[in-house]
Amino acid sequence: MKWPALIGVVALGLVSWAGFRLWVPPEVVQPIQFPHKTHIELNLECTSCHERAEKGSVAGRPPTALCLSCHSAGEGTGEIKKVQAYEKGGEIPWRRVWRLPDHIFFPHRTHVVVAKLKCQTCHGPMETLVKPPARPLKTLSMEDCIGCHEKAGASVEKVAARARGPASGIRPLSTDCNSCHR
Amino acid sequence: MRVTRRGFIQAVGVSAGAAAVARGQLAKADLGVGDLERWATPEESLPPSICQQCPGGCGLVARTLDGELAGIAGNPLHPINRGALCPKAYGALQLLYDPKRLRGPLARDGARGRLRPVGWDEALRRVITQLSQLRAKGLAHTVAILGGQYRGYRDTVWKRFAEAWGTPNYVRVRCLAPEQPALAHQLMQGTTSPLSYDLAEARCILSFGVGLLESWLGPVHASRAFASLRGGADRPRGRLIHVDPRRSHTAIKADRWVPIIPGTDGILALGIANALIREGLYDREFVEQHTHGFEDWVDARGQRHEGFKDLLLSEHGLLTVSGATGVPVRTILEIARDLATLKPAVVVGERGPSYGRDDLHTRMAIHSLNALLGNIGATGGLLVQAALPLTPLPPARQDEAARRGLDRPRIDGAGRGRYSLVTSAPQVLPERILAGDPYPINALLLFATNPLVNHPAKEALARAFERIPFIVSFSPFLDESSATADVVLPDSTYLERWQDDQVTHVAGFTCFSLAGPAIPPRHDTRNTADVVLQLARSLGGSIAESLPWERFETLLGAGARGLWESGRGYVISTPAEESLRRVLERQGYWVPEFKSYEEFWKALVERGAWWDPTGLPVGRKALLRTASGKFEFYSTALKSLVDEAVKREGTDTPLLSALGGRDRGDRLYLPIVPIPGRTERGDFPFLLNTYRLVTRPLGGGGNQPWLLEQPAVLVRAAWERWVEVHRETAEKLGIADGDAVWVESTKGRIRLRAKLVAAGLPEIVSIPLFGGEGPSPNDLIANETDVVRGFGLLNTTRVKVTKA
Repeated sequence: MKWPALIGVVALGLVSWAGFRLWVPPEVVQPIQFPHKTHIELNLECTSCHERAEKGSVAGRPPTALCLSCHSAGEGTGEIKKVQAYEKGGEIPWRRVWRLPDHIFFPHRTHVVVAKLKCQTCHGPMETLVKPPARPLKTLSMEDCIGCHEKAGASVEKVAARARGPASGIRPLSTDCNSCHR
Repeated sequence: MRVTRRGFIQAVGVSAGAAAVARGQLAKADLGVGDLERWATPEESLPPSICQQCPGGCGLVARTLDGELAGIAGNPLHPINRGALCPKAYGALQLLYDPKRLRGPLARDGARGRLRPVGWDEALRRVITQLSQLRAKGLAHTVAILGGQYRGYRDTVWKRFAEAWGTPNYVRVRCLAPEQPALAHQLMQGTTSPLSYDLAEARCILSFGVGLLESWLGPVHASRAFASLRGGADRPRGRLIHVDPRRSHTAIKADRWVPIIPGTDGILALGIANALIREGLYDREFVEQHTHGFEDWVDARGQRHEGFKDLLLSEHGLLTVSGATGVPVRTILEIARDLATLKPAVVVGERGPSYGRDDLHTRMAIHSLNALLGNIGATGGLLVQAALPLTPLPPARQDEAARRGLDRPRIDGAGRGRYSLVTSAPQVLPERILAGDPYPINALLLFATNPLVNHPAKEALARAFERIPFIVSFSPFLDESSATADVVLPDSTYLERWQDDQVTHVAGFTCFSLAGPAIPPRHDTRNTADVVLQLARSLGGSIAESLPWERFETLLGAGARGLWESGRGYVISTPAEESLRRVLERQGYWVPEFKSYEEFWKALVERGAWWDPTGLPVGRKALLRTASGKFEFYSTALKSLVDEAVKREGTDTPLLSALGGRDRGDRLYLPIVPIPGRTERGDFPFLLNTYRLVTRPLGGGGNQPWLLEQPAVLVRAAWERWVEVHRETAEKLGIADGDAVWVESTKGRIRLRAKLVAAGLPEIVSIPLFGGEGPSPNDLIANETDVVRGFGLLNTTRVKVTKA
């Protein structure tokens, strides 16, 4: 009786652990403990470094040359020295934290430049972090996307109605499946 | 009816009288009709002329009716302006017809008596007597000539006069010296003639505080280039990026205006250079093959030197640059990317007022961007003009007295010690004259300048003038400086005299403008160039031999002969003829238009200019004349200057202190501008920013009401001077738009109307350099010399503002 109970407990533990790993994404450890808060306090905008967010669909990570254009020399913390070690070449192996399912098409440019959404709307209060997030600060579900599109879509319709006709420059917001599931 | 004898005689008398009266009236009426016809159809002529209100050198057409000037228009054939003009050009009419113009020469009764009208002969006799006496005593060097802003053969005449007479003291008072290359170009490229910016062909222009559309070298030429940048039919729209603390006209017209903390332009340039290098956007091929000092290098003696790249990357990180300049990191990155992607791009950092304490290195840093973009000698970048093929003049003859005089040091100390880099340092004149250092000045000749108004130390200069025993002015007006003169020999205005212009700032062609008098002088005035030639003749000896021309036009004719003999270029002509010649030139033909020089001269006088649209050495060889034959980030020319100063004077300390008290290391010769520490604002929290309006001509324009009524549409101001205060600042100080305020510096205070502006940096107040009524900003500006160009430092004074 003892052995089956023990095996049962171990099996339960394994199943729980597997479930936890499947349910909660793993903790991401970055090569450099980048403090978002410090940089935002220096009057840098998010897109000063994450510049591709304004230009393409994928935001990407900043190139090391961009970090080095400020941090190439001088005394600094151990983390700055780590950045300077990349002076000779190579990219900092940043690890990806936010990841949408593969079947979702999310263009950053449309949301940042056209809709003028704040980065924090989807990414959470990044400006408060003194070290990189181990996991996404905010997990988006499909309801979040739909909710936002419906709400903003209604206000666009109101504007169009006030303009008594199709208002120029206002882009219609779609909740059609094909908009995101491409 | 009975006719009596008396009645008959009366009737005959009345009839005869009536007939006589009627006949007389009819004759008068006949005469009146003739007058009316003549008045309605006056004799019209349209001689060409040259605008002299600024260094732009635009071609004019003067409309004269029966020998009276009736209007001004742009010369449609002239390649600089193609018929367009800025508002200043039209002010010429009011300059000409100014009722306050001098009617003839004046001379003073006794030592300091009243000025009274005299004839030309007497006035010239007095000048010749005084000058001859000084020369006879071996005091030729104590005669100083103070000249303003002018170019071409008028400068040649004065220069030769000074050389033949024997005075080293030919001092120029001006903000820009268009005939000289910018010092940064000279030190980094070794050029000896001015470079021109090919603005019309560029796709991206980055301007560091240069008022391209207001008051740069040639506002009309620059405006036409800007129009081509923006709306050329055969090319995509270009971009203008303007860096300026003040929201100027150019800033408003620009695609991007970058407000900056004054004096930090060089640091921003280095930030942009950092981004270009970091992101691999610079022209690697040009930098590797045609530059020196970019990477670390080892000299012939095996000594290792730091390169521009490593110093820049280690010291001018974007966050540091952003903190010092107030320009966001992202903006710096975007400017760098614009410059690299919109080719050809050109960076312009050649403006009148100094950039501040590190002026030379700021200019070098800005110019280094042009090398990183690889636009030196490229279309749409920096070009060099071919020298005008004018007949070279033989060197001036010098007798023993002249040689002795020229060996003496200059009164302003230019070319030595602290002023080693400048050709004139008029700012030091008051103290030097007052102290008699290095010798007293016995005679002063004033030409085309009014230093008792324009000089920042005008009070001290007025005291200095009292020490000078003999002053001659050549001003057409009895201005503040002329009022102190002993003899006034009034010059004719530029529409009444022979003149030439050799404009150097235009890219793509060389141009020589020439004009005869559009009308005869209205008063008993003479062209000063003629007067100088006459003085030289009267003084005789080697002076007369050095200036042998009877009239100024004879000298112009002798010079222009070289254009005819060069076998290239054309007298300006109609667009159809011009196109035909361009086609022929492309196929290798140059067709002479005239059979003789006389025909050439006649056409030149009738049309107004000669130009060579094709003969330009735009290759890189012509532009890189340094010791290494490359663009030098590490300026060996600057090193030679410092070494020469040590050899000549035994020390380089004064020169180094003038260059901002720099160390003697490699970075002295590199375009590196140190990041300044934070300064306490103290009692004077605002920085005074002066600027030049598009409607302000060289002389100030106080006697040209058309220009005074339209100076600043941005702040809706006219006639009176004003001070621009930021709205935020004004709110804190309780100042409303139009309120009278006191602007005070350590030097003095002036009362002006406040005009509130919404953009720009709150800690800056701006006062225009403007000829209108009211006190001048010269009453606030400290008399400091810009050691790079010898002009006063106009934008470094701290002030406070209080409600009056």
